[in-house]
Amino acid sequence: MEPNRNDQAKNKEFEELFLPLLDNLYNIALRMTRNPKDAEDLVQEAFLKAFRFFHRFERGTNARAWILTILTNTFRTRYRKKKAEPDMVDFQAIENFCLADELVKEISASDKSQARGAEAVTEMLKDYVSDDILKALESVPEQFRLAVLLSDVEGFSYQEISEILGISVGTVKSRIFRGRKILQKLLWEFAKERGILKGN
Amino acid sequence: MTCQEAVDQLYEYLDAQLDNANAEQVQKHLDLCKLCCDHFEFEKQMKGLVHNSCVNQKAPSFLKDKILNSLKP
Repeated sequence: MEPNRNDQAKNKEFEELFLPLLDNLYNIALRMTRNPKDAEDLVQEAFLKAFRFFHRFERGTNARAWILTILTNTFRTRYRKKKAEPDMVDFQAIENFCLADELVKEISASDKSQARGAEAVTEMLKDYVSDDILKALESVPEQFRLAVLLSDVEGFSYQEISEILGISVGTVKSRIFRGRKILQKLLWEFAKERGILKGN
Repeated sequence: MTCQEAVDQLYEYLDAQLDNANAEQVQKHLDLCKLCCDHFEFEKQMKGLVHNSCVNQKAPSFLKDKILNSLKP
């Protein structure tokens, strides 16, 4: 059957709006599902759903936020139970964890000759490679991980994240804060385990 | 503004979520307090690291083809 002109125009508009976001969505999906096969399936499913519900997309609003909402919801209903989440027991200890402080303590212990501050510590962050960050991110429980990803990777405002995740702005805030603390704590543990701190 | 007050708002400041008046107050504190300023730089760097680690993968080309195929009328 010959596709009619309306369908062609609709396809063209959809592709122009959303295909440029493919790499973007794939990266986020990888961090959500934590494996490439599931990420591919998730992205494909999100695209299909977005296409099916394209008539509900309000022209002129944020296309990236719209399709990311679909991706997030698809992930949450479909993939979340597949790979067991790591246990995160000691939330109290994590609440106040600050990687910068720990690193400062570590440097001053190993280098008593001079007191050095967080400035030196920021320098040390360069010792962390992408793989460390990704490995740590994978271990951050999903609810916190999603909030951090949407803020740090996608650059959404708390209000936008609250709409994407369907939670209040206050909850977004606390999930981002806790997510970052958990991430820092994990990075700190990697640093200790593998001796990637310079002084060690 | 005390250091504690600044630290409490640091993430919101970093994420550009404070209104102008509050952001200005935090900024003033960071200008004056080296400790908080270093702390802020650290958190900024962390945010950048997370961002950069999560944007460098290319979607496999067959995925694009698969999607395009499934959209065909």
